[in-house]
Amino acid sequence: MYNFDAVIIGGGLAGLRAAYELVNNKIKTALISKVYPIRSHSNAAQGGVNAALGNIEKGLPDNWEKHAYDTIKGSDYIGDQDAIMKMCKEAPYRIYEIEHWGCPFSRTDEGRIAQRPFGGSGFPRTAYATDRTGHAMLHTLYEQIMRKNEKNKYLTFFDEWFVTKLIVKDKSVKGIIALDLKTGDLHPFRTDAAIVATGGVGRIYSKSTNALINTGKGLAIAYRAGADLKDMEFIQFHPTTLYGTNILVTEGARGEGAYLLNNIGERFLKNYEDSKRAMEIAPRDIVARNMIREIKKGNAVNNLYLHLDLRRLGEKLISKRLPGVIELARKFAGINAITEPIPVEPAQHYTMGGIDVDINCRTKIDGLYAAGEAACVSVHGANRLGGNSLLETIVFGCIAGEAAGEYLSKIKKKNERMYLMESALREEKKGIEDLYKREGNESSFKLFEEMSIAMWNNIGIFRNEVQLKEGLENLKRIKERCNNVGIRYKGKRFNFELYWLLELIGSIDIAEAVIMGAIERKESRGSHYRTDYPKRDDENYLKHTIATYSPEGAKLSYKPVTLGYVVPAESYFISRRILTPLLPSGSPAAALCAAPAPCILMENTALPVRHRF
Amino acid sequence: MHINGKYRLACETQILELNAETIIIQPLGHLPVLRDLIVDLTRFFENYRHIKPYLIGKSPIPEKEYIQLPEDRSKIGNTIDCILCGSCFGACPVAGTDNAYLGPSALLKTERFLTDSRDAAEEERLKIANDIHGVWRCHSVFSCQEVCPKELNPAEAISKIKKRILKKGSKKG
Repeated sequence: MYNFDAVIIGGGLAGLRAAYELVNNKIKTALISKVYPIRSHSNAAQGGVNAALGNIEKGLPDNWEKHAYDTIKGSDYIGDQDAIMKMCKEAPYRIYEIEHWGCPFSRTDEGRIAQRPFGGSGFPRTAYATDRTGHAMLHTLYEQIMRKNEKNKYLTFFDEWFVTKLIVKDKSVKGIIALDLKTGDLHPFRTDAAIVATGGVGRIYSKSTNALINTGKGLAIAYRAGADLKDMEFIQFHPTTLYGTNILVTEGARGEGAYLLNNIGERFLKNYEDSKRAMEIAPRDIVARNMIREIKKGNAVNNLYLHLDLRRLGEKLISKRLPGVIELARKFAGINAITEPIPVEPAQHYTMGGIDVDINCRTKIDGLYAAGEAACVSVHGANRLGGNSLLETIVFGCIAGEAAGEYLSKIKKKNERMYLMESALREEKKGIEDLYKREGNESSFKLFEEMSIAMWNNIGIFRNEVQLKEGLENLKRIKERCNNVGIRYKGKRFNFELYWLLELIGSIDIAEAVIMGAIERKESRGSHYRTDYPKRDDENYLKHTIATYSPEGAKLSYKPVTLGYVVPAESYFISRRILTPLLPSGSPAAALCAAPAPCILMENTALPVRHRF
Repeated sequence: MHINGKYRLACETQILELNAETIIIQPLGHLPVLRDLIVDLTRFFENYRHIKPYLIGKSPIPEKEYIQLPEDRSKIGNTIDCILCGSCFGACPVAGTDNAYLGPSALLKTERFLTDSRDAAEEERLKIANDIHGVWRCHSVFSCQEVCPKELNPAEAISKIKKRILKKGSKKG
């Protein structure tokens, strides 16, 4: 039995940032990750991280209020505005902090952190380290944790361990059970606080830019333990991923001026009402939808994919600004992006929803926290802006670590849990032994694949009631077939048949919450596009979907969105019709509705900002 | 992994590119095998931790970011790309014979911080590298450079560290 004050599940940016905070406060912490932390998916982030540093002034100077405004608008008004403001206000401090720790940001001529424009932002606000920003930040954080941990060793890493269960009693965290993949043994961890930072759930889709590890298991164990999931139906699809492997081709490519072409070499985006003006740099969801429409029309190249054409940019610019794109096109598609167009298709990219947490990363279970893509605070609402995901991890990773530390200092440590831990361990052990004994003829790998294909086909970029219900039925059938999965290899070390079965069981829970949320949200908002309800409906759906676990399936309820700073307006490039009925008449918000420029109401100026270096 | 005679990243190696009838895949070298192709990376990461793989920033720490001019930033431009995959370690003949050798990637990391204009720990870093199991164990075989999937050159970094030490006239080992 292991004994820790806090356990962090997941070793990406959010998990590591939380770990730093705990270790800094001398709290005995375990960090459990199913891969080595530096292999986490944070690594894959290319473009950059948003903060209103104002290092590149173009016209008006940038400030955090403008960053908040862009984020709220990008969220299609379903992001919680207090949380968004908190994130944007803290952004510069978290960026300076990680720079002081050694993050190798690219530089301006004056030696300041370089920033570039990104979709949905009014300013060049995205700080970057070439096109490998996630890698640079992840390594920097890991390095500084090595430094913190050198002498006192408050932090213990459990690399290649897999958490199977969260133990909750009387609505508070008591411990977890984890599987050591190297030995195949289960171990109980006694702890009063747990932080889930396991990233997104992208792999529930067959076409996804996410790493194979992003199955949503962290969400699933919290969900089964009684935490709620929020806004799971909001899944972001990225327009340009490499055909076949679905490796991300950064939005930066289109930002720099690459064209999207159909089978006759036509910039087809001009044929669609919502993209004809902005063309390639229209928002992600609009471009992705129009690409699918074009493919369905039969205008795809070889009837399979579309072309992303960088050629007009010239060799010099491509090599300087997009070296990663050249590398991946060469390695994974055998294409020379300087002389040939790249075959691309849309794929799942980001999970806006997640474990329901408040502005301090707390769930409704005492001692249980979540941060990063695994959590839904919510700062991304119905659609995340590029560059805000990395920001969320370091801002809310820090907040989760602080909140957990504060909680630990307040509670009385109890020692009456031996029995609880032992019985939970016995139960979990028996569960796994039973799985080993099974002789069914289904394979966990195949079922996982079938589930993810069904998700792509039924709950993809375009959704409608008939398809969604069909998807739910498909998922139920797959769930039943899980009982017939046999494990042929009986060894315990790195048993991937067992491992994928455990993943699959978790992913099905999550997939179900995604579909149920999508069925009930009878409107189109951000990434959630219903062909049978193509309009946004603020009157009925300006609210968060909450999914609560029950053995019969997800139970849905709703929660209000925190508004108060920016007024919902029709999003994107459509005219700014303001929805006045939402506002109390005579309020300052209503007065600002008519303003043509972005309006921010500074009612709450008391948001805390922490300077700590 | 060792794939048809060379250390490569299995995740990005294309079968067609190998242009071979038979493909032989072996685990990373010099490390204990846990199962099939999975090795125990403990030693690799112990070496990594040993060299103080973190920026020790100059004082005073500025209110905003450290000023680092583009030409200074370009000095670390390559070394920061290391993904700690271990290919260089597996390919290094010295790592196979000297269990205490720090290995190419850890020493590359040392050079990464030595060249960072924000770092203030040159002396400390050279002291760690200046060891019979440190830079002086490198025989300049350049296998590391040959296999690096990120096209980095640890052997060159090691020789740069050697020069720094010699300049200070404090060779040990």
